[in-house]
Amino acid sequence: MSVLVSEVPALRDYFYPVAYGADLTVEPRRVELFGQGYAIWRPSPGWPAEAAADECPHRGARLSQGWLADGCVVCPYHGWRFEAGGACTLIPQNDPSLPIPPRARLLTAHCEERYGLVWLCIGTPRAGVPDFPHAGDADYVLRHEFLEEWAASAPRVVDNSLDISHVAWVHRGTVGDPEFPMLPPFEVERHRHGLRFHLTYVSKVSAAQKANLGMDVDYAERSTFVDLVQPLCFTAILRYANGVEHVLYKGASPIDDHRSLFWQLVARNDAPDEARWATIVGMDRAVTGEDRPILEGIPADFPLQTTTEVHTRSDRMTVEYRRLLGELASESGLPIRPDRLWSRTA
Amino acid sequence: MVADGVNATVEPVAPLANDERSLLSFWHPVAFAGERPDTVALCGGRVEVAACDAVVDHLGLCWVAPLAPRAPLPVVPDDADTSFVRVPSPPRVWRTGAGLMADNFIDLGHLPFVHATSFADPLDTDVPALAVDQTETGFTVEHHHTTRRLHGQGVGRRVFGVTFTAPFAVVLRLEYLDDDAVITSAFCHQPVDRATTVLWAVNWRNDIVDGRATTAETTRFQEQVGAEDRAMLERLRDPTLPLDLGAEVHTRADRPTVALRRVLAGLLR
Repeated sequence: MSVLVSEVPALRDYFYPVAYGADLTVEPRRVELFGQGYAIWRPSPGWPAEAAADECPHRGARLSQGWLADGCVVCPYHGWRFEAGGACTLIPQNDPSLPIPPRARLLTAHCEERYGLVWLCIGTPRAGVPDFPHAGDADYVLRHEFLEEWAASAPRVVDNSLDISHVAWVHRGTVGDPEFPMLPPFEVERHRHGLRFHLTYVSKVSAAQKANLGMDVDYAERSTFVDLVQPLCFTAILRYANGVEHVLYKGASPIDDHRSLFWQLVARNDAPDEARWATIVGMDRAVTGEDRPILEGIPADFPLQTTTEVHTRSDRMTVEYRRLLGELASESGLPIRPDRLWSRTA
Repeated sequence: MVADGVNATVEPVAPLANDERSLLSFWHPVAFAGERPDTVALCGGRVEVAACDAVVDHLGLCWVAPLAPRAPLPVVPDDADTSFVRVPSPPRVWRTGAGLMADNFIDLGHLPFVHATSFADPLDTDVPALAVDQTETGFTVEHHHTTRRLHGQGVGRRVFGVTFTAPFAVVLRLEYLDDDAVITSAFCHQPVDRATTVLWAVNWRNDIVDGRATTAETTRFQEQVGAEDRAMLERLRDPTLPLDLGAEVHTRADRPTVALRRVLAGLLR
């Protein structure tokens, strides 16, 4: 059995980042989630963001091609105006004394801003915007790193983030070393919306990493505390022996079944100066650049049956991830398709 | 069978797609008059022109009806008037459905918003309750509004006459009362596949003979107006035309486009 993100309606009940808050103005702009277009805008400069399906209820034109007037978004096709909350306030073609049809409403979406990101939930939220504890901690500094489209499905991107055993191979040019492929035993703990695990393993300390971390050794133990906060949102604390913590907040917003908006923030507790920030972000760019071509080559269909693929002891977290997505998929009652691999061998 | 329709299930009316096979029972423009292509792309497939029920040259275009047509060819009285010059525009491929394009050319309410930079009066937004003269295969409607003048400064009065002939022919007769000029445009649509339509637009003007306008200006202006519509239509979520009147929100100003949906639903459903 396997699924595409569109076949797991429960995933629509979580918030996903779609834009940087600093980039959002009173000009409506289009974003996509789960294969559907949404318009996001600010009713006035500095006001909280609003979001609605990017489709006027009158003749289907994109609101993202429109503009703002008196705090209302204006449809570019016939000038219908919609206030925050989605109600239509003006139909220019009509006599003003005529009532506005009650069905003349936008299909609004839940919209929040946190950590400098605009988050959308297009379903009924079953959780809020994920909590990033280090974002409010005075000992840590938070930076935006990436918000970019990848031609990879969102569960595949998150699956890769959970998977530690690929580091030695995919990241052999940066932080991995094929000489150290073994992982120690570890336990995976489930929680309401995700899972967490912790392990310590040997990590290569390249010249760039030495500068980034203030270390002068070629190999160092790295303790990794991973928390899949929500099905497509992940945090990882990478703690080094010298006390430096490199904390990643990352995830994949499902643009559609085959594309994701990959996003990543980093928090550090060693007060890097601007020059060091540049190398820190540069290293993270190099690492994600190693993942991307692998992920963009993997089919979007995500296997749910744990007997479909071959798993080993080091795959415990990704096996558990398949169970978690399987539980969410089974909520919908939609038929789950036979797995692509099984049908190929049948 | 349920007596008197009480408790009868109302089947939703499916949207109209370019590749609907029942569209083969109508006239469609496929080339310029005089041309006889062997095959043409139509309604999601290829149609052999020699095997069509009827082929005719009309309004400067070659029309085919693959099966016996259920509606007549569009009529343009100005085509027979020698004071008018016929100006065909080059055919253009739009990435949307023919139903949505016809809907757009009939629609009055969008003019001040989409065409404010080309010809519309942005202040004339009101559309009154118009009388739509509907038949089984089409309708006519007339609207009096103001737009930018054709040959003078500022805005002037214009009569906007619409004649729709199923499935996708829209003839607009634009009479500029303050400029003593008429532009008639026939927007004829070739439904190629689900998301592709060829627009065959033909214009007639009575201000070319006296030297106030040129054929080049005519096609250039129409390309400009078309580009404004196209930017909107090619971004709609779905290239099909909703025929279920409950699928969208309609107001009094939408009577012509509601009539379009009714005529097509009556013929095709």
